[in-house]
Amino acid sequence: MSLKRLLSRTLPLWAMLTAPTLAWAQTAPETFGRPTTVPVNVFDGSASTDTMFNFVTWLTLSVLVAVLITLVIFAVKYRYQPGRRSIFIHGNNALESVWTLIPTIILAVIAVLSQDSWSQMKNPPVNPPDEPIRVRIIAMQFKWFFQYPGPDGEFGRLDVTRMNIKSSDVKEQAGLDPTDPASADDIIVGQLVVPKDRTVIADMISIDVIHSFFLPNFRIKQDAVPGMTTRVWLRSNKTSAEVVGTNPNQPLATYTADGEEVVITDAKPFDIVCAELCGNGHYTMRGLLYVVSEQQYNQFLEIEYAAAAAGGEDDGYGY
Amino acid sequence: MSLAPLSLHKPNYLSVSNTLRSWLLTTDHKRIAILFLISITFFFFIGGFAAVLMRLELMTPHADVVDKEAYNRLFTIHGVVLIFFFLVPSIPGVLGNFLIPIMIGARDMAFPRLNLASWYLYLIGGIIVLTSILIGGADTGWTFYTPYSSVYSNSAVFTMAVGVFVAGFSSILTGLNFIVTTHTMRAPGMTWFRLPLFIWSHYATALIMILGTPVLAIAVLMVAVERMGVGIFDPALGGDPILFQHLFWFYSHPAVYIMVLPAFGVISELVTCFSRKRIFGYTFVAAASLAIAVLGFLVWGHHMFVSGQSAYASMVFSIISFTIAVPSGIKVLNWTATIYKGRVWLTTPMLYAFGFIGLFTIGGVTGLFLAAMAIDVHVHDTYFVIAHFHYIMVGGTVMAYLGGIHFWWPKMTGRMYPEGWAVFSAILIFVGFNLTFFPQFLVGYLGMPRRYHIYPEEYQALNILSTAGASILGIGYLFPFTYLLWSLRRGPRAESNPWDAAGLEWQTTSPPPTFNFEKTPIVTQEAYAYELVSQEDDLPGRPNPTEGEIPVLDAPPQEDQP
Ligand SMILES: [Cu+2]
Ligand SMILES: [Cu+2]
Repeated sequence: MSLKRLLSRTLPLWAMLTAPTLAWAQTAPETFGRPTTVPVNVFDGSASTDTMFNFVTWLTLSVLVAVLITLVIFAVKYRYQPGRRSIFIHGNNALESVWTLIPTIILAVIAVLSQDSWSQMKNPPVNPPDEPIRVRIIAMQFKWFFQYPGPDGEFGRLDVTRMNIKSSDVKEQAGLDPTDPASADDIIVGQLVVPKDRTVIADMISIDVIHSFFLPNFRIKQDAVPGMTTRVWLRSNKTSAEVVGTNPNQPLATYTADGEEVVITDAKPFDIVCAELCGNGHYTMRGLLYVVSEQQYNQFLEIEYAAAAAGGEDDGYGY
Repeated sequence: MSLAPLSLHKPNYLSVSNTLRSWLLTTDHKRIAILFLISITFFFFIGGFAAVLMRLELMTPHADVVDKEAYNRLFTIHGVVLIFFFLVPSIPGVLGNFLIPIMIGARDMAFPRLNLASWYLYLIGGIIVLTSILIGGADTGWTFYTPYSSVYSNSAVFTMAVGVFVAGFSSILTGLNFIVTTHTMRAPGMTWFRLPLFIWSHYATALIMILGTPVLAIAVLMVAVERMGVGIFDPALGGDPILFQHLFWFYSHPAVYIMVLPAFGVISELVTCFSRKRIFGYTFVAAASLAIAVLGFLVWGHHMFVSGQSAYASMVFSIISFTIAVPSGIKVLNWTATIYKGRVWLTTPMLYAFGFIGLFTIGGVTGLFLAAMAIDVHVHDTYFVIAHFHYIMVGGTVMAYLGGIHFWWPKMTGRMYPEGWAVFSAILIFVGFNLTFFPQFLVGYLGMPRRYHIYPEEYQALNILSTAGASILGIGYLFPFTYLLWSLRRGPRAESNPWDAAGLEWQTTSPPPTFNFEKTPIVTQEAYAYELVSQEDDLPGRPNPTEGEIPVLDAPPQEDQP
């Protein structure tokens, strides 16, 4: 049966298949108008990742197109025709060597380039322009907490046996050990707030199962593994307001020791996504990363530290 | 030279007995292949049904078909069932079991009873997994990552792990049989370099089955043991969660090659037959299979770039992962060169072969993104990875499996399938597959994580395309299921060599007798001696059967099969 006859004979079937597709498209017409764009990369440490991605895309696309076109040409040119015979070729060692060697060289180039972008992503600059900011990322089913070491620069000890998930105080939820002197000035908050253009080194722990700290805007992903500490570093060359805009209805605010609300910024945050299946609530494990100006960052910390020094209960969320 | 088909009134392996007992206690490798065919088809539809529900759920960004508990169970069922109970045993269990002894001129496998035991272990493992689904299912994903799977998950992980453990032994026995059979059962004159590439690739697969599967068995057994309170992976009990990932991927990366190497073997048979040509660079294609089997064991760490393993270990795993692209690339280029100046006969199996080469190439080159560490960090655990391995495992293995089933259907059943319907559904499957999985590369790069049933609205357009494609793909799979069943009674009777193919399996009747050949064949030619196959026929239409003219075997009349 020729293809043309086949397609025309089965026309009702094709209609049957496209109908549901179109129906679905109708259910969300606005979706098709929504721009779906690649998240803006704000991290210089992964700029070469995007370059690599584009390079590998063009390279593999050209190889792919070449292979597919060759296949189509061969299928048409050497199709079964009366009288034409196949010609017997047993192989050609020179040709085999060429098409072993060329891909090997291309792959070696990608492999070397990827080592370079990997080390940029893994290693913070050796001589940062200023002291890196240290935070500790605490992952648990199904939320992210962020511990700042306070003026003493030392993280207080976390103790799993002191964890109390039902507590309204995040320090108790995360199990911060009050008997450790380094704990006294620490704060633990429910959103990560960092200033623009500053190196941040984050040590990451999990207190239950494996989670994964994924920042699409930074091209960073790192698992948080119970029983060990993993590390990421990041630095944003834009504030989150510059990239994702503002939302005055839901600003980043914090509370003084007297319970007075102070709005830090109306910027919207970058997404922190949990990328490793961690249980039923996995899909809800979304965190917020605010990249703000240096002044806003200092203001945020001052208020939080003052509140912590006053010994108030801390719900961890600025809003 | 007496190569005329054996007379049809002689009993073949199907007609020799038809009692249930004769099937359940059979040691005939061909009947065991049919048992595998029936059971993997059953599991294919279970795993496929889970996929249908998932795609329906993902049509909108909200939870409207299933809730989070159900969704997590669906993708676990989908992964566990389709990987361990469909893809791993698909081509080896059905086509490998049926063809390996015939292709090397043997009367059965080296260990026929172990062969039957392998099917029973598969079946028992399958029943245990079905039980675990019925008592609530597991919600860990097919990867069973600890300590979620071993301590925290409140689902039937234990039962499912035991099911996978038992099925693993089926795989080990199959591999053992393939290796010993290839070493000891070859017909006179069937030297190693006369073996069809189907045999070479199954030999390489069998090596992985034997060396890798025990490690998986250990890993899932340890998960089951830890669920009973013994500390192995849980750091609270002094264990190491990353250890599980090393053990799991030490098997599960090579398992990709358990799934795809047999597909390579099928494609080598299809491309040569329907180009009427010898394979281009036989030794390179055979050696590439072995190279893949060996290198496949050295790259598992590329699944763990973000896991917290040493950054230097990742660098080494990345480099080795790039090298494994070379033998895969050699295969694609050799198949293409085989078609060059051939006489391409576009039947259904050849359409599937073309589909395989195209889709496998897409799957292969997108693997380069994942071998490059920094890019992998961004797309790891997103839909990009999902798209990548479905191009390899569905676009690759399932395409080759369907191509192989169509190609050898006349040999296995003695009936021809309806070519028009088959061409139509091959096209349908190809279109549906690409529409399902190509958008997933895009949505994954945008950042959509896997294993989410609720997602941000900007991803919906691509998800709708994917679901639409899945509906076409799903219907596409129902067609071969229907017309192949139909052909069992109504299909035209097949000749012993309907494709004018050069392999030894086409020299016996369709379907073959219980001991495959009336007389032990003596092989005097290399595989793919298509220069000796008549080309006088005029297509379109089937070529004339030309049995009498093929001096591939020389069967001296005095040598009788005992
Ligand atoms: Cu999670
Ligand atoms: Cu892998």
